[in-house]
Amino acid sequence: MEQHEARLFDLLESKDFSELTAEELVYVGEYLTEDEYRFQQQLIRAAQDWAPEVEIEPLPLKLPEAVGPLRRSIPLYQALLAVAAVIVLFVVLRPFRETVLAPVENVEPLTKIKTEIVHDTVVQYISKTDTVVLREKVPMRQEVVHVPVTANSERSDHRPAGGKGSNGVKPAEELILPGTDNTMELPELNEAAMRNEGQSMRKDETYQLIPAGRGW
Amino acid sequence: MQKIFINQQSDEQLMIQVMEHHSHPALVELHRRYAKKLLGYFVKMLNGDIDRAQDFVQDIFLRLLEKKHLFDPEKKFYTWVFTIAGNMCKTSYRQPAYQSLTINEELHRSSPGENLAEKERFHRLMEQSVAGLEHHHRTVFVLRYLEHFSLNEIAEITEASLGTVKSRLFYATRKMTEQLQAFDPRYETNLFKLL
Repeated sequence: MEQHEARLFDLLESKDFSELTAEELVYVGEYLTEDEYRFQQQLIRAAQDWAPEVEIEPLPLKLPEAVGPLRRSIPLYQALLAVAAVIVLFVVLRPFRETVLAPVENVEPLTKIKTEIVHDTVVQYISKTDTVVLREKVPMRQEVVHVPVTANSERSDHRPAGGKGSNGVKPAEELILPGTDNTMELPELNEAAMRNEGQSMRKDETYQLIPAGRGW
Repeated sequence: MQKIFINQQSDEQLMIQVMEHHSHPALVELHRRYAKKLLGYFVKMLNGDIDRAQDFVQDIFLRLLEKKHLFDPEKKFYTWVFTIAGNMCKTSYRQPAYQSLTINEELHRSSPGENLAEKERFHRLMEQSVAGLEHHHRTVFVLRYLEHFSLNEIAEITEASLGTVKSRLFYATRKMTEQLQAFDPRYETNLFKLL
């Protein structure tokens, strides 16, 4: 139908009804009567000559204020490209994460402290390791630290004096800790010292520390 | 070096300046050249609403500024701007409800024999008949007979084929003749007298 309408329009714009050829008359006759053809053609010519002029003047153009480069609008695709570039830079340049080692089970402590209460003295055996090998431990030396019990304790402070005991054990030298008055608060040891275990004096082996010749 | 003044540059050169340098003087010059023609187009397309047509003229130049990156320098500026104008009218197209009755009243108002008055009445009837057309039929009719664009230019503006433009023009004029004939069987005789 569009093809027929286009051809009819060409004829209407270019030829009067009386100027149509025989073939064109047959063709036009299929869609329009002579009166319809004439009237439509006259309307087209009237419209061509009509051209009504608008007598009013357009208003002055109001443009937005001049904007700087930072406030200028940009196409959407440029904005999306800028966002994508920022994301890519963030992924590439982000700081390395600190490596967190997974906890290892069954790891022995580097420093072992063994606590013993000998009569009125608390003895700590501290084993230190100064060489660290991953998953290996090499004990280097053993240090004995005698820590007197503080004023919280009710026991008297009896210390062996000089000489060796009968078992050949040399009395331990008192370790003076720097910056202190040679006393140390050890709550866990105080608690251990104050614990009433109800031990029999028969089991007391502190006699070994009492020098020969001295008695109660 | 010869200096080219802004009013000597082509429409496409001015639009390129708007694209590359956001040039307000270039846009103002384009407004000077096309504002009145666009105003007339909008008045015909918007059923004679002058205030709305003025707003549309202001709006279209702001759109040119916003969508300057869409302009193809290989093509003509006026076909591009009228394409935008046509799309603006399409989105705001409203059919006047009183159109048919008004044509009927106009046909029976003045007495026959007053040729000048008859001619003016006929033109008013044509305006109302154009306003009653569907958007794409009205667009091609206004561009062809009121704005005097060629058929190829209309095809470019409406982004349709040449055959489609001709078909729409045929249908538009046929519809208008049917409307004008329907109310007064004697109108045909008067029309031939006016012409």
